[in-house]
Amino acid sequence: MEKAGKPAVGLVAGGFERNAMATARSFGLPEFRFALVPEVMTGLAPQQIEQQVTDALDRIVEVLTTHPQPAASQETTSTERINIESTDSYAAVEKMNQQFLDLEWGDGFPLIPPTPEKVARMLTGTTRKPDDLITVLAPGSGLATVEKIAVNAVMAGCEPVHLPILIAACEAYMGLGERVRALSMSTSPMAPLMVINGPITKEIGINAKGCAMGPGLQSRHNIVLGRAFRLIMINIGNCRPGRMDLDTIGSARKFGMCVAENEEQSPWDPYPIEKGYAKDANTVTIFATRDEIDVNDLNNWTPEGVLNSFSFYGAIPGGDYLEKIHAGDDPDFVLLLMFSPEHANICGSAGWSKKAVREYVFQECRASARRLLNKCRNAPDKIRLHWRWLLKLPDWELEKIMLPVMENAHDIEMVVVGGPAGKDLIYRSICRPATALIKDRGTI
Amino acid sequence: MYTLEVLNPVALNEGDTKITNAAPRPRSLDGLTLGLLWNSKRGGEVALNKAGELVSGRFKNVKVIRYDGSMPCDPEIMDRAKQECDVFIGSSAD
Repeated sequence: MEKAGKPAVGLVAGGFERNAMATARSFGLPEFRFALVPEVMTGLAPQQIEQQVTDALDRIVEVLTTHPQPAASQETTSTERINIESTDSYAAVEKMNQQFLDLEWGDGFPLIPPTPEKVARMLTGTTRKPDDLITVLAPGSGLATVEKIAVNAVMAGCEPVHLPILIAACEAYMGLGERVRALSMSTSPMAPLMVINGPITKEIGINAKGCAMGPGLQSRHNIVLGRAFRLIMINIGNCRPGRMDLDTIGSARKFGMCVAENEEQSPWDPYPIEKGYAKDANTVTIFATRDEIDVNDLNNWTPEGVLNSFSFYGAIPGGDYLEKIHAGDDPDFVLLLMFSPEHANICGSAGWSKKAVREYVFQECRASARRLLNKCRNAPDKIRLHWRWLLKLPDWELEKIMLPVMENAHDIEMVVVGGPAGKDLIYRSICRPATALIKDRGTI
Repeated sequence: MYTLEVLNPVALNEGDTKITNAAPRPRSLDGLTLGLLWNSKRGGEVALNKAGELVSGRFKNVKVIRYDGSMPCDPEIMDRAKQECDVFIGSSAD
């Protein structure tokens, strides 16, 4: 509104002040001002909220009727080259790490120094020019040039072969659309999951099999790729805790998640083929995950038995489709079924296509209307008109009405990952995934 | 003495290159139309309704219009609000 020449004031809760200013800066409004209220309002009773606003009235009026002081000088990103001086090389690396951590440039783990030589070598991984702008990265509207991506890749421990994957990951991330802001800024522990497909996975050795999402030698490429993407989110997207990452508790998933699809042991086409990519295309897909659920079922050997377990574990009420919270057609609730090869083949060898699996899980993955309504019944105005009849029913009747936990079967996604055991994962996700081609690979 | 040279990992942000200054302020809110912008997070609407009531009580002839948006807000709602109002209060509930 300020950009349209209209004075505006935001009501900002305590603890979100840095976020308010960082967001304003990312939109080019360094003079933005707000009226502080002590507590987040989502969990307060109406009278408490009203008291907070009453106490903030003078500030609201002040912001709307007085011009701001000139904006304080912007946070500097210092110079492009930084000299760290110390007694010896080891001490210098330690000093750099402390300095970067103090500046909120790290993820908490030791960083590899991004020396000019290391970065120059990293840049050989792509044919793109260092100053090519790949995208403007949310939430902080950071200019994601090839060189900035490369610097962060070095810090994470990546090799040049990883750089084109990270470039594609940035493109896929922004391909998520407006929900990328929720993925990066939410008070819930949202985290991007990178799934890599194509011949590149074998060429490099990105793990698609046992413990692909876990620590250790077998997943060394997965680990540094996931980590590099988080550093890119921090340093290019300004997705820093307390500033633009507003997570309440957090999750270990946020340090990085990257796997390859186990294409050779899957009974189905690789994931990107469903999305229209060529058979041998190298791609990165970003899933905007909310959480991770272990499907613990070693006692079924039929498609129906396996898929019932997926459905029961996945039937955690989202209910978001009952409300109109987010604009557009993008769903708020997408289920990613990460099949183990064993369970995928139980379905595939019995002739079940991905479409059949989706339809089955969609029908079985249900929760009671009472549960689905629980988190939206205090804001009845936001419940979609065609669901408001539910509000008239007593709880005992709502408990008997079983509704799908999502709106459409096609919002169930499937990939095959993992080693030789029938253990699967479900990732509840907040929007449809996005895929980008890995291209412009250097001749390393 | 050892010198370690490293490159800065932090990117410029687009906002730094396209700065907009704050809009001109009125001396008083008398006679103005106040827009209340809600993003649909619970509690925000309660805060905004109260803010509208309090501003109307302090100033003369204030017209208040609430806009119930979403995340992100439908551009049509934002455009209509810009046309209809002079000043705004927004709440995301956090």
